[in-house]
Amino acid sequence: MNRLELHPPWATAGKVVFRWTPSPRSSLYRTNGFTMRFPSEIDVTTLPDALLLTAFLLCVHAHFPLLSPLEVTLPAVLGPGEAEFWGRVSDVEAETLDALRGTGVGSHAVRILEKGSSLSPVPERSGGRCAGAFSGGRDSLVQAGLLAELSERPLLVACSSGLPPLVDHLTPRRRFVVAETRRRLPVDLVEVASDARLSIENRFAERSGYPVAVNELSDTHVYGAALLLAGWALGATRLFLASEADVQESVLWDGVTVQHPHLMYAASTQRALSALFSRWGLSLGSLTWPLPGALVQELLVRRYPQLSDLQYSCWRVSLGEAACNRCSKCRIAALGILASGGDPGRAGFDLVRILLAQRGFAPRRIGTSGRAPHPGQLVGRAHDEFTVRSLRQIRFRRLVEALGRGPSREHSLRARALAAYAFQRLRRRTLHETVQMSPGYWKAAIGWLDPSFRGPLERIYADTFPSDGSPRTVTLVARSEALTRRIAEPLAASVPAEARS
Amino acid sequence: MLPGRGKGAGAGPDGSVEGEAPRLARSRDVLLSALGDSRDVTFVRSAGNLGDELIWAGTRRLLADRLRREAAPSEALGSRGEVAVLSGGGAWSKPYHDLLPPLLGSLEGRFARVVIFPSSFDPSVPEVRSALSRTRAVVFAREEESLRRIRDLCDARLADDPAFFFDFFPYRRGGSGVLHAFRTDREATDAFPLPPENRDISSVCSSLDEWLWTIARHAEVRTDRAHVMIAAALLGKRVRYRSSSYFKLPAIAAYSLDGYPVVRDDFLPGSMSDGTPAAESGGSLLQAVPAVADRRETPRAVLAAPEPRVTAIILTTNRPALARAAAASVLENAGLPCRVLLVSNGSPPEVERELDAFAGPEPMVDSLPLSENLGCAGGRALAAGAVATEFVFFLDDDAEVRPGTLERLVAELDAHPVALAATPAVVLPDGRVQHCGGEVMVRGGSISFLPFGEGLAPEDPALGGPAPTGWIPGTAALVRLSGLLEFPIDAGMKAYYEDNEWSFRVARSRPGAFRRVPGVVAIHRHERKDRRGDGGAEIARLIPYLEAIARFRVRHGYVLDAVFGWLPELRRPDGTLDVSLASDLLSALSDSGSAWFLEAWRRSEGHADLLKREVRARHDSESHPRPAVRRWHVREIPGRLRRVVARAAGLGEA
Repeated sequence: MNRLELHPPWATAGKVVFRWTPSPRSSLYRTNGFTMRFPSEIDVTTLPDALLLTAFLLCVHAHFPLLSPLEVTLPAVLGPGEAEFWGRVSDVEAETLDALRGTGVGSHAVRILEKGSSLSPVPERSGGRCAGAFSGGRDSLVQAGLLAELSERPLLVACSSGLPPLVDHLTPRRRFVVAETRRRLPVDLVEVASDARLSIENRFAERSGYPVAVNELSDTHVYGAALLLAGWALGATRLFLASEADVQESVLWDGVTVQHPHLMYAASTQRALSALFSRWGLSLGSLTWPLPGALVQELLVRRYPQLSDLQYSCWRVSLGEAACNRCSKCRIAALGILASGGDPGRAGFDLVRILLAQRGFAPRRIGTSGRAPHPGQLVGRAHDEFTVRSLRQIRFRRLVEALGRGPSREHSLRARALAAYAFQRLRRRTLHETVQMSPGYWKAAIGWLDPSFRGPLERIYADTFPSDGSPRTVTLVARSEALTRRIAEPLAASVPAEARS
Repeated sequence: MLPGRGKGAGAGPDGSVEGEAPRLARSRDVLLSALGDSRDVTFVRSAGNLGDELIWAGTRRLLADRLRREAAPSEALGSRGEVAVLSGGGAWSKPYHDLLPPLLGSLEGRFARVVIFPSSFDPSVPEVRSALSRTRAVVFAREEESLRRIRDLCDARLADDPAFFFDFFPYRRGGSGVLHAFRTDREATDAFPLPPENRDISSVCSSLDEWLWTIARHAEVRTDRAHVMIAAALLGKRVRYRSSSYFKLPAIAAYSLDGYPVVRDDFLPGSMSDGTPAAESGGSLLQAVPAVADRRETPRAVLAAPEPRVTAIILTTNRPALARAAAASVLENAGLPCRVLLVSNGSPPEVERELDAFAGPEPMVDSLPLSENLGCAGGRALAAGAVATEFVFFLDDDAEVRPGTLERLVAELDAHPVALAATPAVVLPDGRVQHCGGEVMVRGGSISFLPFGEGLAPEDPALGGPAPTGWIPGTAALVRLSGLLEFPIDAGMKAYYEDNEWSFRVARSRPGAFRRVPGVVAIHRHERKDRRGDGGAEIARLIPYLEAIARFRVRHGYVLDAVFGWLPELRRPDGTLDVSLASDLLSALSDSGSAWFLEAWRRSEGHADLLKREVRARHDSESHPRPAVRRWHVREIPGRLRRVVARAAGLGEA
């Protein structure tokens, strides 16, 4: 049995410090805690202890399944049902991880113990100000645009947290994106710095047989914790963390709902967290839940062209770049922008490098026999189909024009010609690929949206995209809702806090 | 270039020295040309102390390719030959003239030619005058005063003392404290009382190696022995000397040591206390080290930065008080906004809590508790990942910065955008510079990271102004974050020498990447980690150092010369470095691990020959691929040889 003792977080001098003690020592942790550093306009000493401990659990709960069997000791007694709530969050995440690892469900056991005294209730906030997590990626840019359009001076919270050797949080491009967003939108944008991502050994999950990196399970929760604390401190009650429809994909394996491996974006968890936050007058949601990634990209180009040049999606980027221009993510983004009528060069995408690096691209195949493919495979296929559709939509003449602009222009004529040739070959290679029509927004997920934005958002979506009310999306939404109910049930029942096993 | 400076007076295998000082090169030429083309050279040693042994070692090195035999005076008188080289030294003076003047005539009867190597001569001694005035030998004086005195008596020429041809390079290292090494023999002068702590090392040390190490361990040497003065100067020590009973020390210093920090101290009354640094004489450490920098010298833009541009990373293991002092020095003395990251490198929880308690109320200080001790390299590499400022300032936990240091370093890198790192003068508690950057020297298979300015006072004009430097010691180093991202610290260097490795790797890709800024200082409460014995526990203690050296060798192919400090057993009897043995041993350590190393060391008791056997045995016992000899090649080999080759290649009789 592993043990993880969480020490009381403390807030002082502009920072919140989180510490833990694992026993025995686990190679999951490179440090025994982390710090979040807030800007001067945030008085961290006003943050309630219950909120600090919730932020702590938000950051570390994704580690619980990786350390199980595990006994977690908390430094205080949570609100009614909350210990059980966190246990269930962990259970649901563990089910997906176990299924993806192929070790069957039920091998996990996470026991949460509460020590010490009860925490003072969190003073309820009112006012309805919106706050959104901001990274510069297409989802957060679209959400920032929507928040600025639909609400009064929203707050954006950017969280910088290095994960060596990646430098995506350190580049001048990121600083530019943050500064320009602050300048171009009627928003307040604050930056939180943290060493939270540094504290984990990112390959721990893979070494344990799970097909994910640890940060793919926990990053968004770190950003969510920063959003929760900064948002509360600055009077925001409606919190938004962009999550798109693609990652709500799930399958049923032996009666167990297996979610997309990027569990941190799961609406099931986010909506359950919203139920928890509602105890303090807060809510958590996403404005892009109903939108598949392809539509998010298109919405950014078509509705927010003033922001689309700020897109900063690639985490493989080098220090002096805007994107690595080699990876599949850059391919999807650049071709998607071009297909939507935008100019990928404005966002720093170098079409020449992308087309030459991705000239071997071929859409993934999903086997039709045997067990249903897992959600990660389905979404991977969907992204490939997005690329195929983009290749078909882009007129060759437009491509040639785009190759003469932005970073592509710096290349020799020969390199540009080779890139154009690579484009044509890619198009020919995928000519006979059977792909689904361009997806619509998930009609069934509209109900997940913040009630006050639901109507306007659906109008925006409907103005731009077809709706998808297919049984598949209805089923996916229903599965997610079932998980949410399962997780949040202890909160509704207000079960007295007690150790669970 | 001065004799031996920068190149450690080290000669290559052919006896030549690349970059050798012009005068030393001239000395080499005139000495060798005096031998003519003869290959029949006999080196005749005189009697003497360890200073004379240094002369002999230098002579052997100079004559390495010419020497046929070596003989004591009595042996030389029983042999014949073409050329006899009579050892240089001070045996032509009043205190010591019993042996050589009478020997000279006898040698001339048995050898076609005799050459007296550079010596000091006092022809006022009748026996000396008589011998010189009758000789046909070529006579070399080692300083101008002797030359002046004998030039009318014999075929007199001038050259540097043979000790200058000795390879001092392996002994070069930082030192601390003052060595008083005044002579106690018949040449001693009674003009000054001996200091109570005096140690006449030329008489009391049991070997040349011990003698050299004794000098090397100190920062300053005070002496009236010529070869203690020479060795100390060439080892980079600050030297204060007094005359012995005649002129040779000032004359040698004037002729051969011009430009070295060698000071004549005859004029000081009594002990040399007037020159004792404040820290040594009970003054405070900070008083001993002047605040050289003036903030007015720093560009205003650097001082006016609104946001922190620097994060100081202070790594500590179980030394929270020192780390706090280091952090406080940054907070109090940095003239620009600066963050501090206190990193607990696998310390126990109470240390983590102490650092947390220090960092908590400080808005600019964070603490980072590493879950295990990653060594300096691993800890710094990981901590750098938490930095988002333009610069990282690595500061040892036992170091502190003085006012003005950080901003001047930032200004230096601002002024040199190509440079990736800068270092101040790092000063020891005794008030002397430990290093201010340094130079890298590669010779054969070994590599040395030589400190610049070692032993000088921080305000010494010899340190010069800001300048490029060959490497950046990690004690106090400002590094661009972009440089660390491009050239990450090799966490595999574990505990030690990561600054050497990083510097070497960066410098190869980025010439001009490093700057030294002598005008500003950091203080280093450095504790030497010298070898403290021969026992198994002591050798086990050295393993982390040796593993880091082994990794350097694996990564870059060179043997860090520090290994010869940790394991002097790897030197040959003449004091030269057995780089081949060191390389094999480090290779074995890398491949077979510390357990094998410790066992091999125990079995061999550190004897070089036995160590070689252990390395060979290990090599043989492991399944190394046999040489690839293809059958058709084997068939082409005739007769019995074919069978031998085939068996060696594991091909049977083929």
